[in-house]
Amino acid sequence: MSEDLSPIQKLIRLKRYEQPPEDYFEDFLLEFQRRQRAEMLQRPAWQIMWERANLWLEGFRVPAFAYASILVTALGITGFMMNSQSGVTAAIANNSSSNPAAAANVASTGPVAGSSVAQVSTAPHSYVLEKRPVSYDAPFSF
Amino acid sequence: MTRRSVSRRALRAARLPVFAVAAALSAVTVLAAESDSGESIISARVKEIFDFNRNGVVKIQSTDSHGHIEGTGFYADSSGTIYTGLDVIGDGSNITVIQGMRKLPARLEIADPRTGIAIIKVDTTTPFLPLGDSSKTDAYTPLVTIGYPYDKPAVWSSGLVAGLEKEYLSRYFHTTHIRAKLPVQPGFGGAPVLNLRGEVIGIVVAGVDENNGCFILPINAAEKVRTDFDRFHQLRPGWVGISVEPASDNSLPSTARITELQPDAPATRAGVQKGDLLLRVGDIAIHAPEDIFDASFFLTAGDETTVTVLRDGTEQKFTVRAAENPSSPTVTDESDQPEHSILTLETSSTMPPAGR
Repeated sequence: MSEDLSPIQKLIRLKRYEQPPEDYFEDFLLEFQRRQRAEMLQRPAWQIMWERANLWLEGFRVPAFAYASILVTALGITGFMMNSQSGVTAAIANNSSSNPAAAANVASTGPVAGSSVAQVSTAPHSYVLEKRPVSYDAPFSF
Repeated sequence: MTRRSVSRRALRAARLPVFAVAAALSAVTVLAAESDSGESIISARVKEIFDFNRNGVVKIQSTDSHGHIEGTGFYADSSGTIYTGLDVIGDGSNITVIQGMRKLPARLEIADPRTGIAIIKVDTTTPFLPLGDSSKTDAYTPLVTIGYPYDKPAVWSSGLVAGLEKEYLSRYFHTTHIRAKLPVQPGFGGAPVLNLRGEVIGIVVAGVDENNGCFILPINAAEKVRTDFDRFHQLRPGWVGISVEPASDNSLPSTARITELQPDAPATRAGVQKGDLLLRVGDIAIHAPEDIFDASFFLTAGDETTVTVLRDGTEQKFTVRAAENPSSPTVTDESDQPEHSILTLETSSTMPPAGR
């Protein structure tokens, strides 16, 4: 038994003289982190995000129904906002469609139908809009 | 690894997609809302202004020798006072106000050919539009107007102030007008123009550029007409007897040099002299000869005003009591009732023939 251990004892004695250089332990942590980052860069970003999100969520200890509530709330807000925006647009569209004249008004650059002096074909009504404002050849006196 | 720990891990893994979807939806909603918020705010505001004020905007019907006339007007107070266009009232004898399903007879109170507006009145309690301060209106101010085009119900139109004008085709206005990139249609004569605060800042008096733009009489000028009527039952434009011409020296604070003073005129009696540079009349600064039209418009015969001039390098102020112009305007009461008066000016005007 003692003879069998002698080579090991020799090796251990040898190790006493096989020590790492002095700065090995100082650089150990930096080297470890460098290798860790190098390893991470070889993985796709979504995998890293997924892993980190999983780790982050594990710390919450939130019951499953809370996530369902968040989803329902988000869907509700989305629906409400989309509905309210389409409501305003619909109201304006209704105004324009019920009054064809308004449709022309919405497009501020489009030509407005008719002239300033308009006569409905059969009715003798005139619809007033002056073609030019009142102005004068006035002297500079007052 | 126990069965329980495996199921918990699976549950956590299942929660994550749900959370991610919720977060993504929220982010998309917020981004969509932010990108569309400007347009939505303006659209919603225009709709609010239209809905809130449409009951105070009325269709005006009248007649003249050519037939039936229709235009737009709006209530300026709760006692039935209505601003409208001068040519909307026809001959002034048969005016009907249509407010929703109601038809109300109206009487002419005053018509002003200088500004192209008229004030009529119905004898009932009415909704009314809030009046703003048109002196704060400047280029790019957003505008909304409400009018009755053709035989249609009330519609709105929106646009921007393009500028403030003192003249049109080299002929001067009696007071500065607002030029707007605001589409209007036949029937919009007399329509109110509101800012986005929902205050009336002017009245549509003419459509230009094939009705893609319009000229607007500032509401402050219209209120001057109404104030004259309330005080005197007629228009009372003031006169001080000053004539100016452009000064050649552009380095001076004003180029309006007084070249003539009428004998025994209010300004002459107050001490204003020929050769003085006119700097200010009341609250209105004078930088050029054409600025006197605004100063003149807001003068009221019988009221005192301060005339500031530059004489020998120093400012001098004179208190002047404006008088009625002895030559130009004559006030003609064309109705049997004393409060129904129409001012007729003898100066040549470009009042469009019939304008309809």
